Amino acid sequence: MSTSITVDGVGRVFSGRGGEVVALAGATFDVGAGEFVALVGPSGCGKSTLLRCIAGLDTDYTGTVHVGERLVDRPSTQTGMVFQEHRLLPWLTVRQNILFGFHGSAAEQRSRSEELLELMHLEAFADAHPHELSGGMAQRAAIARALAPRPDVLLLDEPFGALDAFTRVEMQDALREVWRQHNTTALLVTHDIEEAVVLADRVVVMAARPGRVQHIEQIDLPFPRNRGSEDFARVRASLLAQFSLVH
Amino acid sequence: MAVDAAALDTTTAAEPRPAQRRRGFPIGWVVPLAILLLWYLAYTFAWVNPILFSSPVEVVQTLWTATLDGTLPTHLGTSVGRWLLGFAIGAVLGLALGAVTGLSGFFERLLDPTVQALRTVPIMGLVPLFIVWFGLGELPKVILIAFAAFFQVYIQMFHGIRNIDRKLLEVGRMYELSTTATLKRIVVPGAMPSILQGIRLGLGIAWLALVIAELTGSNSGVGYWMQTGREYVRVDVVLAALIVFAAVGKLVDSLVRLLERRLLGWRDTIEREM
Repeated sequence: MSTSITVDGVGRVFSGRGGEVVALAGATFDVGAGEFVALVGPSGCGKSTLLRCIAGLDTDYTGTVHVGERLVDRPSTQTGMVFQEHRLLPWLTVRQNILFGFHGSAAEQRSRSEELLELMHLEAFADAHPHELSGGMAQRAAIARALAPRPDVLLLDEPFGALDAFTRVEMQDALREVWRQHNTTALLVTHDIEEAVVLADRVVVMAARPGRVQHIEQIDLPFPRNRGSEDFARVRASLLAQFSLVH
Repeated sequence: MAVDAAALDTTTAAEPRPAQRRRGFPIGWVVPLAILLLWYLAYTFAWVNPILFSSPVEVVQTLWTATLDGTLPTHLGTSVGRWLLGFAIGAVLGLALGAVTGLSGFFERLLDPTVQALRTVPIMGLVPLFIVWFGLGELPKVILIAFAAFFQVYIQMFHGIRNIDRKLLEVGRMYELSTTATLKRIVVPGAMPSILQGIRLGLGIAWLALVIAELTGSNSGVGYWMQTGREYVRVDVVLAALIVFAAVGKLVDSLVRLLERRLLGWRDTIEREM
């Protein structure tokens, strides 16, 4: 089951010692049910803050966020979240971490974890602890954990930001594949334009100071996308042009 | 001083190290054995006053006879009983209060300053007061031991909770965990290394408090046995009692370490590599 996300005029002000900082001002966009949308923008444009509002982790915002019919005022198990750091619980094995938010009988737990371990190529590490994993494997386990309860919406906050370039490419392909198989709505925050073009059906470009939506671009390239093709380069260049307007 | 690079090597991969260091010569015994040898030589060649010192052989004989005639087992039983009772009381209070102040900023502001102030009171200084208040029975001893253990456990419990990664708590929020489930699934396991550390330190300091309690106004226990040795200038008894204290202390410490290794096998610490 997938659900739409509607972000309407979302503002967020942080009050600190240096006075008030407007992180977001009237951000408006939506994500269709089953769509994959990337949210890109320079650092400080409030894209992570916006994602936290959509996740229900940050509720001190103005405006409204709806996931499906639900007005978001707190986190929900219907929303899966992948953070920049893997945030696996260090005392649980990979399998136990994957099943952290999954409810079901022992048999269901078994089959669901097997399924996700296989999908994420983690079978050999089912009983390993997080410190024994590489960065890419840990992040794959984190994605599996987010997907385990079959959420309507999957939110990803720069999930591959800390990985090396090779692992990142591998992970992007893996993410697109699991997203397709799970038929869920995905919203990916990234500062990597290429990543956005590889993965997303639509790209939302944000501008900073104050954080707002600058431009929304539909990407019509067929999947799987060839990072070396001319069309790919063209789309990337047009998005980069948007970016330079932003700066 | 040259640092052993291998001892500080943290780059080792996930594979648990082979048991090579366990198979090798247990070098931890070298120093105690050397001390024993030196002691034996010092006594045999009369480098020390034999009236003020006993030979290791004599001490072993004393330990042996005291074990056979039941003196040592009785005293040891009394001591261990006091120790565990006092520790249990102190640890339960420490865990409970540490959890309350660790989880609530309000209770931290209300209670922590008092606890921190009391912590600086030297336990030796409490002995006369406790004797005046509670007499010479079991009560003052158990209270003294509980008092000593309490602070170690309290502090470690408090810090264990406070040092839990907020980011992991957010993961719990994403899955709509109730407060109870958050405590059970994130807070307690997250604080466990610190809690066990507190238990180990608490047991150690409770053992010290036991010795102090038994040396001052007691008619049973290993400390009392040691005291009689002093009164009759039986240096062998004093030394035998010291050895018993050291051996039991070390044994319990090893047991808690074993428990730590069992419960905290998931930790990736330098301790595990060394």
